[in-house]
Amino acid sequence: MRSLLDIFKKIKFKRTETSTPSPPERTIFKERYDCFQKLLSANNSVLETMADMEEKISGDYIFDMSYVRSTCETVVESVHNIIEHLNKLSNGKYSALYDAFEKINSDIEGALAKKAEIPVTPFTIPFEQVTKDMVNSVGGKNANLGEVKNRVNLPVPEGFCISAYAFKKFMDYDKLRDEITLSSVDIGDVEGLNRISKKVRDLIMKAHIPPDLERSISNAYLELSKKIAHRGGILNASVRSSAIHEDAHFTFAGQYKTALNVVPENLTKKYREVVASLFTPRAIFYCESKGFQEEDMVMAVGVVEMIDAKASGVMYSRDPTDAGRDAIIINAVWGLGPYAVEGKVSPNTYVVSKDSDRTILEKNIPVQGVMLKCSPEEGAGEVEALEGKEGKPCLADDQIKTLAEYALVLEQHYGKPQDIEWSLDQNDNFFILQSRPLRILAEKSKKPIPTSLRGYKLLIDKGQIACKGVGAGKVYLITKEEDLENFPEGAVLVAKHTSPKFVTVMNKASAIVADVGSPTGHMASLAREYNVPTILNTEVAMKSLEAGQEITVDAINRNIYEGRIEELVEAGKTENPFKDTPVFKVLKGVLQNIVPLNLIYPEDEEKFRPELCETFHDITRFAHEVAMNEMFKIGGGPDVKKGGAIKLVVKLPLDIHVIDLGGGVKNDSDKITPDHILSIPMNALLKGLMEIEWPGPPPVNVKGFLSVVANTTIQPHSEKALWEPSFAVISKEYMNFSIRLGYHLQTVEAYAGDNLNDNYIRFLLKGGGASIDRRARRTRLIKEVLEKIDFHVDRTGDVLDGRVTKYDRATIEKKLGTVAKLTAFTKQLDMTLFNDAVVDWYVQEFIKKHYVEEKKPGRC
Amino acid sequence: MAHILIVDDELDMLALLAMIIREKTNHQVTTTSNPLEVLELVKTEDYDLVISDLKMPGMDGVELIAEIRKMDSNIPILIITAYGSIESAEEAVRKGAYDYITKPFRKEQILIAIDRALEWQKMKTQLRQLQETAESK
Repeated sequence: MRSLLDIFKKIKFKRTETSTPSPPERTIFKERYDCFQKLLSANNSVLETMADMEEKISGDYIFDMSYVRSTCETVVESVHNIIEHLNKLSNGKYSALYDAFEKINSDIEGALAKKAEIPVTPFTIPFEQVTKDMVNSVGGKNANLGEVKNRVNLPVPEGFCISAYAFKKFMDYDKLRDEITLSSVDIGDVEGLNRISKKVRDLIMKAHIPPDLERSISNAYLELSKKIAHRGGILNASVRSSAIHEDAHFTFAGQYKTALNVVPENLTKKYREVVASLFTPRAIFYCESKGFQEEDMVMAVGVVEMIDAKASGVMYSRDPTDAGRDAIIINAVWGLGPYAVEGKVSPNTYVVSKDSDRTILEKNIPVQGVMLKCSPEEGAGEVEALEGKEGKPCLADDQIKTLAEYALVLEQHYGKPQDIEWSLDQNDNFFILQSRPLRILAEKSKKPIPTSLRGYKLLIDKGQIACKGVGAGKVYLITKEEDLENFPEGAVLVAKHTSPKFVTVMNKASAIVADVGSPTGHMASLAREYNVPTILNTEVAMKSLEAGQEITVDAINRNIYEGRIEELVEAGKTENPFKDTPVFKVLKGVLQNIVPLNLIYPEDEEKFRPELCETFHDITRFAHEVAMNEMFKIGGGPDVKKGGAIKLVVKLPLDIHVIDLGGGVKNDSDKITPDHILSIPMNALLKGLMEIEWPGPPPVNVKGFLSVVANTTIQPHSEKALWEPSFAVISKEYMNFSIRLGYHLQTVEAYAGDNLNDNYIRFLLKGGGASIDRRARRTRLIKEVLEKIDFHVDRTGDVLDGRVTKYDRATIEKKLGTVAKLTAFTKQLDMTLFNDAVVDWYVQEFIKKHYVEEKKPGRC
Repeated sequence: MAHILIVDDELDMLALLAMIIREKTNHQVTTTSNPLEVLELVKTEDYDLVISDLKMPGMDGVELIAEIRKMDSNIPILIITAYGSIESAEEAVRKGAYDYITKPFRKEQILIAIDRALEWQKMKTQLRQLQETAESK
């Protein structure tokens, strides 16, 4: 299988060469458009994959590492494609994106490989210095034991850790890593696995321990024996595995070796044995089949005072088969602990209530014939269990209660139910030997969230869910960007469109609802990142919801209710047990490098730069934005007249020439009529241009209008200027139409395809022959009309730059029709715009006559 | 209420599957992370359905199907496969698995798959009984 690393490497060195010889103009257009389309396609691939990955992180799905690797691969390849196509489109203008890409890519690679850095530490570390934060240095088991000793302050045996760093030095000393080559193993061959496992273990058993490590172990042991001498018991130790990834991804529990009752002289031998047990056939299988690196297999070891136990056992701070039962389960056997878990004997079972008295609810005391006991010299052996034979309970009631108390203290400290090993010495002192999260927990069934609620007024029951959950609060309507500044804590954000700028209030919003938008859009992704319940494409939210109205947004069943419904809000709070699994954490880790969006202000050139892209989402957003700008230039460039344009014969006072990039025109003749146009946006625009009556004389019903016109110096507009040719570069879904109207140039660019994320209209207007104040009035008029039809418009003097994005195809077509009518309407309007009142009149007049409200936008 | 045996070497997966089934159904669930234990379990207990991972150490899912089939030709086996390994899942079905479900899947999907497998098992049993009745007449 081709590894992800190979793909990364390949990608890293594959940069686009952009210095190709200049082909004929039409081919250039086609190539650029081709790049643009491929960029859009890669852009959608990234957004869709990202949405898919975020959906998986919701907790509703079960997924595996193959999924995480495969989706990362798709995103990496698609983002790289985006950068390639953008640079082709712009002649290498954005090559800085490659650097951003490589940095992010390497971070993702790191998160995927999740290599545990082995911190440099002393070879041996006494338990007094260990806490749970030191997993990478001392392994999980040791780290938890240190935590229990030093932070929970419960009794644990004395001991020390032989660190992960010591393991590294041990493996390096005889160059063991070079000898251990697992990659040639056929994982399907069980015999082969056994063979290689034995070979590796033999190698380790024969390897030399570095002298300084040996010295460190012996010194640490000396210290240990001083600490335990006062107990008067045996001075032997148990040598226990504490692997770095133990209990992490897979079932390693019980695979590694523990040596009981080891005499000091044998410590290093047992150390080798425990290290060798890291390379079980099973562990090698995982290493090779699930994409781990050999370097990920790291074993720290614990050398622990041997407790010559009178009784031992395990306990659960909650009943693993019935979490709803508020009880602690304690198992106990006579003698050493292994018999409690190995099933050799039937243990005592005590069920203890969590009430304040720790009432013992049940006792089950089977007869125990044999037990495991420390042998006089070394090791442990089976002996007769005299008290067990008589059916005596291992623990007295007060001891049971003490243990129950310990279990609760541990559960409280770790914040989750615990699986605990304990031991009772001959002097009736308890010791905690291990505490880890309790697995396989059958949670009490939660009531499923009702799909509809009676007794509450349902305000909206449609739309698309972008982030699952339930949120309630007061409606806060966003009609313009500035509204975000005063967004109240806990409110529900309601808007017509989605905008990545909403991110600024996502920490305050209890839910988001929008009339339009797609779950694969930028804002949807942010909503999921911030976990804000979100319903988009509701079509009617702005109309149906009132500012200040209290609502409950059920973004699980796609319902919005009047009022705050606690029942729903409560039901929407989901605990996600999957989130604690390693695979979930890996996905979460890689998503940190993919999803967050930092580049949210395209108009701010300081903050919207390739160098500032920190995630793949940033690169995608940046590239999409600037690609539109690059494409926009296509119609205005000097090459447009040489591009093989065909004249469009149409009854309009315009000289239109069409350059087809593919699929935009029915046949390739010298002259075409509107019937030949296949381009979706071009047809929509032409339809609008032909539907409106091109303007005649100014209105007569405005007070003083004619008299003022008579007194106005009208700038001459020659017919020649009016009839300058206009060029439309089109394809089936695309149009870039530069219309020359008198002395001003207006460009309308649009994309109208099946994917809502691709679709947009851009409107740019510049210049004109009238005086500055008249041109300003004209731009004000157009700006106001465009804003009424949902454009976001920037106006600088007489330059207007408006855009509308992410509407479905039908709505884009309708809006293009309106833009066309506006174009005709404002033709040579400068001469009549002699004061601001006239502008207001025209805005109203146009909207009244020509604006067909898009009451029912189609779905994507 | 059915008795379901789940076999998966990934502890997290095993725990999650068991939890989902226990949470949402009344079925009894037995789990093991060791595929080598499965035959012993099937021998000693009656199961209505086996849910198994496909790729496990010691014995993979396809081998497991063959072994279970030797002992019980009727018990439906539902295979869970890793992302992107449909071919091996199809092979498992050819070798006698009832069906497969590919990760990632929604919790509801596995519950539906279980219902369908149990329904299929019920129908198969009824059919066999009818045939036996018909043959004895």
